[in-house]
This record gives sequence, C-alpha cells and structure tokens, in this order.
Amino acid sequence: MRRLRALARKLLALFDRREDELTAEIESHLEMQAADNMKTGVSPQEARQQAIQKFGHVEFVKEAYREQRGLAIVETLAADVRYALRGFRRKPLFALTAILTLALAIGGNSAIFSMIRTVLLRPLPWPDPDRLVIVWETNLKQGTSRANPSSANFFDWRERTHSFEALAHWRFVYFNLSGNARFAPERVQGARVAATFLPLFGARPVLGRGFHDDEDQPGRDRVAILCHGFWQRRFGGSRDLLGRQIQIDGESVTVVGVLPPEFQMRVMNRDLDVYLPFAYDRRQLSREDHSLNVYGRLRGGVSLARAEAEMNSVAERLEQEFPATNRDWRVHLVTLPEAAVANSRPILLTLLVSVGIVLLIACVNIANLMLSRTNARFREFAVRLAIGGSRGRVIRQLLTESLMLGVLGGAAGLLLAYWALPLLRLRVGYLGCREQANFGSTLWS
Amino acid sequence: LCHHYHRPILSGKATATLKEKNNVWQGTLALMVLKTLDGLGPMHGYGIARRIEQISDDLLSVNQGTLYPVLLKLEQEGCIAPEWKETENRRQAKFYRLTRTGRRQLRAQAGHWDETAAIMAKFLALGEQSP
Repeated sequence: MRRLRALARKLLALFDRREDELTAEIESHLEMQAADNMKTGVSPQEARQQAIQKFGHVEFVKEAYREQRGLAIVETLAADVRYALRGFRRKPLFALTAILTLALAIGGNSAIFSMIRTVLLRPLPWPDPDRLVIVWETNLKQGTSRANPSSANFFDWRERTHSFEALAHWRFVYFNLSGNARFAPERVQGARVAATFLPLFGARPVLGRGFHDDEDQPGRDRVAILCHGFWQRRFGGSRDLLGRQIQIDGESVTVVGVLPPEFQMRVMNRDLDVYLPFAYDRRQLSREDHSLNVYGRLRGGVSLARAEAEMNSVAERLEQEFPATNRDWRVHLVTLPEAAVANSRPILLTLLVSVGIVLLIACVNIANLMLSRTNARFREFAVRLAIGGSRGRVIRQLLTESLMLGVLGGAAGLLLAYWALPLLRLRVGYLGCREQANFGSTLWS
Repeated sequence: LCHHYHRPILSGKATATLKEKNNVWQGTLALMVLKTLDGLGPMHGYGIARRIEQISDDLLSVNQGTLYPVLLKLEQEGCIAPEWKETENRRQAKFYRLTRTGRRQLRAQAGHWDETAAIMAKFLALGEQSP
C-alpha cells in the first residue's frame, strides 16, 4: 500500500516539473544555518558562506531530489528520446537514409507477409475446407493431367461412388440481365450450379431459400439466387425482390434467395453476381465434351487417396463400358485449399526469401552507417564520460537512438506496406477466392 | 564533480568504513528522521539534520543531498506530511509532521532494527567467548 501510494505520487510527478517549493525549502535551510552560524560571532557574509559550504552543492541536492521525485527511468528515457530526435535533426541525411532503408525493408516484408498469411496461412472461409475437393480428369496418354470432366462421366460418378457427401458441377457464365424502366441492361457474372453446389460451401441464403434438389432438372430451373453485393448494388437491397421475376438471357427467372455478404466466389477479381441452377437434359450428355467444373465434399473419415482410388475404379469400369470415349481417362482429386495456393506458393515463398535478404542487407547498411557515425562522435562520448556520465548511461543513450531509428523506420515501413499492398494484389488460386490480401485483417487480426 | 555526487549520505567517523553501504544508510536515515519527528513533533529539514547531528554527538553529519530525497520519499509513502509554517524566528519553513502511517512504519522499522542489532551483537560476541 505504501509502495503503491509512492508509485502513484511518482507518476503524478512526471507531469509536474515545478521546483519552486524545493528552491524555497533549500533557501530557508540556508538561512537558518546562516543564522545559527552568526551566533558564533562571524559576519553575515561569512555565516552565509559557511552555510552554503556545509549544505553542499545545491544542484546535486536538486538532482538527487529529482531522481527520488519521479520515475528516473521514464524521465531519462524521455530526455534520451528528445536528445536523439535533436541529433537526427542536426544530421538529417543520416537519419533519413537509415529510416528510408529500414522502411523499404520492413515495408516489403510486411506486405509480402500479409499476402502469405492471407493466401497460405489463413484457412479458407468455408466449413471443413480440407474436405472440399476439385475433381479433374486426366489422360496421361494424351498428355492431359487436368482436364475438366465431361458431363456423362460426372453423372456416372455421382451415382456410383460413396466417398462424397456431395459432388456438384458448375460452370462460369456471363448472363445478360435485361433492363427495364429503372435499370439499364447489364452483363453480369454468374454461374450455373448444381443444387448441391452452394450447400457444399455451407452457404445459407440470408433471405429466401437455396435451390431445391429438383431445380437442376430442365424446365424447373427458372430460379435465381443473388449474391449480397449485387443485390445491394442493383436492387438497393430491396426485400420485395424475393419472388419477383427478373429477365436473364431473355427468360423470366424468379429470385428465390440472397446469399450472405461474407460468402463470395470471386472470378476475375469480381464476385459472382447471380447463381442459376445447372439443368442438364440427361439425353444429351456427352463423354467427350470436357467442359464442367466439378467440386465435391468428402465424407468424414474418407481420405483423399481413398476417394481418388474409388473414383478411378469407377473410371476403369467406364473405360470398359465406353472404350471409344473413355480410353485411358482417369481421375485426379485436389483439395480446394491446396488448389488455392498451388500456383502462388512458389512465387510467394520466393518473394519472402527475397525480402528477407533485402532486410538483412538493409541491416548491414544501417550497421555501417551507425558505425561511421559513432566514430565521428567519439569526442562527444569522451566529453560526456569526462564530466561524469557513466558508461551505462552513454550506452543507454545510444540504444535509445537506435531504437528511435527502428521505431521510425518501422512506422514508415508499415505505412509503405499499407500503401503498396493494393498494388501487390495477385490473382492467386482457384476461383481467385483469396486474391485479396487484406492488410488490416492480416497484420493485426 | 561526480565524486561529490556519490558521497555517502552520512559522513564522519561513523561511516569511515561503511562508505559503500549507501542503501543501508538510506534506510537508517529514514528511521532516524521518523524517530526525530516522533520525539520532537513537527520539524523542518534543517532542524532534523541538526537534531541527528546533536544526538550522535556530531559523529554523524547529514548530507543534504540525501536528506531531502529521503524526506520526499517518506512524504510520497505517506509517512510524513509537509506544511509551510513560521519558525520561532519568524521565518517560513517547510515543517514535516509524522502521520499515522509514519508512526506505524516507525514501530515496524525500529523493531526490525533491534532484531538486526541483537543478532549482530550475538554474532560478534561468539568469537570472544570461545577463543
């Protein structure tokens, strides 16, 4: 309690640097001493002189008093910081060079690390993303390792395999949205998707409903689900839109749902605006038209290898059944997180190593700068030591200066990264779903 | 210059061999201040210094460079409370008064000091009993 009270007083004293009272107290001390001295019969001047002599050096008393009054560490730190800043202003070229060097190195590192964290380290924003897979067809004899699946094969897989909770096909489409009295016609990005596609990603509409299972049948597919951003932008977030008809590619389509704002499927740097069911006339399926995208969600406990083996055993049977079209066609599964980073990982890691080396070089440069500056300041240190500055105190001063350089350089670097990151946005990964390396949420979340 | 700064708080014969024990002496000086105020009532810095010197038969001389920080420390801890008042010679001086906290602190510290002294005395007597 006693210590706490003392600490509180000391903290308060940091903001109160007045010394009138101490000066008055010392003066009264000297006067009383002088008065007592005069009783021995000396002259007033002599008495005063003796009093001062006995008292000791007033400045040292004050200095000791100051040390007790506040928190000495904080006060000397503040003094060191002020001194360092004064030094920088006297030698602006040195300070500027060091700060800029640090800023470039730290800025580069922060920017690249932001991207790496967003792209490589943060999990995809969907439930159990590791169970999401992309299905590719391969034909090594024909030299294709990643072909889009054909529609007939897809439906056969869906009926004959058990490794997946769901297999969903989809295709990227540009839709023509007709205008009316209020809106201009517009070409929008969208997708034709299986009824199981959105549930695959755990996307539940915030308004209305998802697609019914039978809505990817021909004739029942005149329904649409809008993404949140598009709903806001084009329709002003109107809730009346549900159940209304919009004209897409010249057909009347009923809006049945709106997706939550956090659900985004980005293609070519833009969110998919409209989802329509992907209806297939089963009589017109083809085994040669490799043009679907197929995503699946593995059943819990089923490994990627086991799912791929099962898919390939189905593919072999299809090969026997349809030798003309399915010769040598096999299946390859890639998890979505892996697909999202496969292209960008080597680039990002290379960049990381490069900026790391840049940081090292910057440190060496700054060390050299500091060294030459220290040599030039030899006199200053000699004088400080000579008039009673302790060695530790000088070292602390130098450390404070370095720290100031580091802090300023770091701050400038973060600014630089903040400014540079939008320029660095790479298109990475499948669906481009994580191409936005978000600086704020990355460095501080 | 710096020699002056590091001078022990109490100089004179008593401290001749204890120059390095600043911390011990600082605590001791605080105790002496508390005891002085307890015995004489409110007193200013000069009076406290004189009193300590008198009681030690001028064997101790109080260094103001330590006395005033010690007074400030005791004030910060709430052991003493300052007040500007007139002396009998009609001078303004800053008087320090012992507070309740200070009185408690004095009892605790005095007890502690007695214990330490007793232990040291026993310890030093050991050699004399069994040569």
